Amino acid sequence: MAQHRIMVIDDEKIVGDMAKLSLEQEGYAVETFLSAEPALKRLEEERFDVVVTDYKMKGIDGMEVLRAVRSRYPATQVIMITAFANLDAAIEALRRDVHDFFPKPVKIKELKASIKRALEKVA
Amino acid sequence: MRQLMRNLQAFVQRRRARTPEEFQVLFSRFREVMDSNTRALEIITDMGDVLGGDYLFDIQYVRRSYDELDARVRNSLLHFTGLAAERQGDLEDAYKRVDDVIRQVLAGTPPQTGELVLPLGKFDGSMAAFAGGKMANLSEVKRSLPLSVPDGFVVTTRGFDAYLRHNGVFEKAGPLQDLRQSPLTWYEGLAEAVLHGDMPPELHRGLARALRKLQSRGIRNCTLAVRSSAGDEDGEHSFAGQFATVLGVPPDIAELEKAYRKVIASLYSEQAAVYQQRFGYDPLNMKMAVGFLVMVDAAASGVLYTADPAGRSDAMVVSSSWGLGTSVVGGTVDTDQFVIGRDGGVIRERIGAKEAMSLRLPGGGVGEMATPAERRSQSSITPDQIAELARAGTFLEDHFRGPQDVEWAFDPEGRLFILQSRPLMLAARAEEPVPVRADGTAGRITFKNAGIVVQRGIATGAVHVVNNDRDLDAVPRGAILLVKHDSPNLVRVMPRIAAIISDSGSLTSHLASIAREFRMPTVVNTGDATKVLARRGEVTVVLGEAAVVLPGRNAGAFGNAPEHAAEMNDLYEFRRKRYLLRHIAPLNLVDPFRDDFSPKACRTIHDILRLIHEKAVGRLVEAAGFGAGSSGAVKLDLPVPAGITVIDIGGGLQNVSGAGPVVPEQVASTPFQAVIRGMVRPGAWRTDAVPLTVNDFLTSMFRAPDLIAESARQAGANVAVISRDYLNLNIKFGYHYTIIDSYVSGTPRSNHVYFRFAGGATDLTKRSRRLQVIAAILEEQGFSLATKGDMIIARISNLNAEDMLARLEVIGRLISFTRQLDAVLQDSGAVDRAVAAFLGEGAH
Repeated sequence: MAQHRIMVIDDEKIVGDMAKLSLEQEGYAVETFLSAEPALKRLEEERFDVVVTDYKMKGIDGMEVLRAVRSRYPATQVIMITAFANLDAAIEALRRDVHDFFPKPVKIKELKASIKRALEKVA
Repeated sequence: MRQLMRNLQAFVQRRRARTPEEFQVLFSRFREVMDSNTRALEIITDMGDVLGGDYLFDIQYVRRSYDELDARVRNSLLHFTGLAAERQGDLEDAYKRVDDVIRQVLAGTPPQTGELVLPLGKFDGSMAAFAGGKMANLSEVKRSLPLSVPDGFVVTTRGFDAYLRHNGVFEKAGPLQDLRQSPLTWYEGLAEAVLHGDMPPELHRGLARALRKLQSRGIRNCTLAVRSSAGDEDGEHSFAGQFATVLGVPPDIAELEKAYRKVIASLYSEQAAVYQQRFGYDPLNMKMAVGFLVMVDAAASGVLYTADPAGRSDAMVVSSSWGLGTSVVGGTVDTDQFVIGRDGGVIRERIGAKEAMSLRLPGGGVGEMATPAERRSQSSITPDQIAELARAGTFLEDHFRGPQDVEWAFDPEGRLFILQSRPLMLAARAEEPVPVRADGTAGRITFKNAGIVVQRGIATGAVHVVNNDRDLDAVPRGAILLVKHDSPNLVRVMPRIAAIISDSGSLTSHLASIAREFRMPTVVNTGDATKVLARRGEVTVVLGEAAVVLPGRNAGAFGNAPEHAAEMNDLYEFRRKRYLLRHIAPLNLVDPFRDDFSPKACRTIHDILRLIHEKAVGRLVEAAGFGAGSSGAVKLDLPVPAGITVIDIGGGLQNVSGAGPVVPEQVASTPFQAVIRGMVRPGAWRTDAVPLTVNDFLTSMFRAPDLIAESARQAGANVAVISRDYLNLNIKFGYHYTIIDSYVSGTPRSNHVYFRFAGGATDLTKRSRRLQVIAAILEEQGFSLATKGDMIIARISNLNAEDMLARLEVIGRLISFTRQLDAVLQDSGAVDRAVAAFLGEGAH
């Protein structure tokens, strides 16, 4: 079975670093981005199974990433994480078919479980 | 004298609440303190969890949590100030000190103030960002411990910044492109710019002044050791042996400056670059402080580990050699090795060959000479010196609260000097490789020595001999490195090799520290592996309790090799954020009877909360001591003649009508209920050893004059101040004076029992026996104890309500039990019998 590809977008380096380290332990190929622009460009070149994105970012925000990914790459699942539990954002994200929505801090175990479920959907 | 008495009286009056109403106000303050502390500790626990590696978090979380924590601590301080009825200046200062450091870490900016040069001994570990971890610790040892540290000073990271700025070092080296592409030339450029730079005038003046001061203290014919002290703010990596040290520098400003340049340039050496990249340090933010220490004329020196780095036992490990310690930490000499108990007794020893020794040359510099033949087979340190090292190690470990890696030297007069103390990196807990087949170790290759396993693990690959540092460039990927000496320079190839085997070396060398950090399977001191394995081609190295080397690729005979898995801790950003916790979570003020419980001793938020808690309880105990004549006081009718008056400050009594006596059933205060249960328990008021009838005995006791209490307060002085969750009970029976203060709620962290027992008119021997009995019983119950003369203070906190109430019941029994003790404690054997009788009855 081919290695699953996960993309992580967060404007704080530590989030991407930690996510990469823990998801690579699960055997995924992980790429991290500090903003959405280069991430979306990368999506044009390569297929990713799951995109984990921060909600609030400078420039293109997580909601736009969600919209772009779901319209252009319907097979790719999106998981959104946000600094504050923001109900409006969560509802909006759910309407846009987000796979999962986590307030930070995110328990890594739960993120891993969510990714696993997302990959089942993809399969 | 009369004036003094009046002053004392006034003091006591001020400290005491005059009425129950006044106490009620103080008590509500106390509860606020406890609630704030509890919430604060919950936040600390939560931060510890989230920053522990199991969560994705960002700086927003950290800031938000700390703001909330800050609010709770301030609230606690505010109410404690109200409770104490005086400003808590020292405590406020202590909090400001800790808070400042945390805010600096949060802001991600290093402190903006600070000297260019600081004298050693004038600052402590909190200055690590300025003085580097190594020198900050050493200065703290010099300042706070009864151990000798050489005289000296430190050029701070601020001095380093000034030097780099003055010489435009980063501008000269050009922009950092991609670190992975061509890092080394960029690093070389930095090193060049540093080596050929000029001293900024203010740094030159600072150095010259520090040198003059050193010389004015009578140290004229000294030479100096100039040592790196990298500003690795997290202190989690040893950087052992990664930077230059210049020894034997003459006390001349130009020489000092030359050495300074050389040391800070080593921050950008090739091997340091590899190390920094491995652990994600940003070269633009790396800073180096530099220590200038008066060199000790070392007769012998070495390294002490206060724990077995392989984690096999609680023994300490000493490596020692003649002369200066360079050969010990550099791993170039076959040193004397001792495994010692914490009492200093030698468990195992191995006298090394010590072929060469380094000595300080009087005119400057360091010379190496062959060790005189007769001294080679002689131990470089005496049993007394070993015991002294064990004592020093214990001091350092207690002080820094963890195993230490200590560099030390004995001068020709036998005086011990501490040259360094830093946290000991313990081996990563790799799974023990276990043979999965019976023939697992058949055909193993043997060496002259068994070898010392520094880092466990399994590796397989082709052997490659390295004779000197120049050979390092040719080391192929995946090689099993064979070296004669274990050199810290090997760090350059660590990212691409599979294991290290060396002929000499010790558990305590710099290489050993680094191998553990890289989790690189490493065995040292095999004696002749370079010869035996040189032409073996591929081998399999299995390092567990013992070292096993097998020919060929044979790893399949063993359980899965532990993965070289990267860990969260290897992420720089992660460590940096978690570093914050060091100023928040550790508790240094543990035992109020042993540790220094003062604001000055507080180093973390947890310390401050702990101190406030202890002081708040103490204040409450004092404040509750008002008389039984107060308004609202009612008598308590007990089946035993204890004569207690009760003052209810809220929810302590129920179904009360009128001012008549109350009965135990009306007591709603849970801590008081528990004490009463203990006091009236059948059997509590007698023991078979007492040859008096119960009534006679009790009568005699309550009739006895009270020599301790103020005479005015003597009558009916047994007072219980209670609320639903609180009890403060002052009891004077005969000559005995007991205070119990307890708060028991659903929140274990807020709960405490404070017990004080004092007085007694019997002779000293009996009194001390009585204390022994009480101490033995309370200790058995898990209390921490202090005795002072004829007084015993016991405390316990942080237990759930059920456990607290069980202890209060024991104390209730104890109050009754101790009434009779003096009469029966005729000989020392009676102590044991009395304790056994008490504990035995408790079991019924």
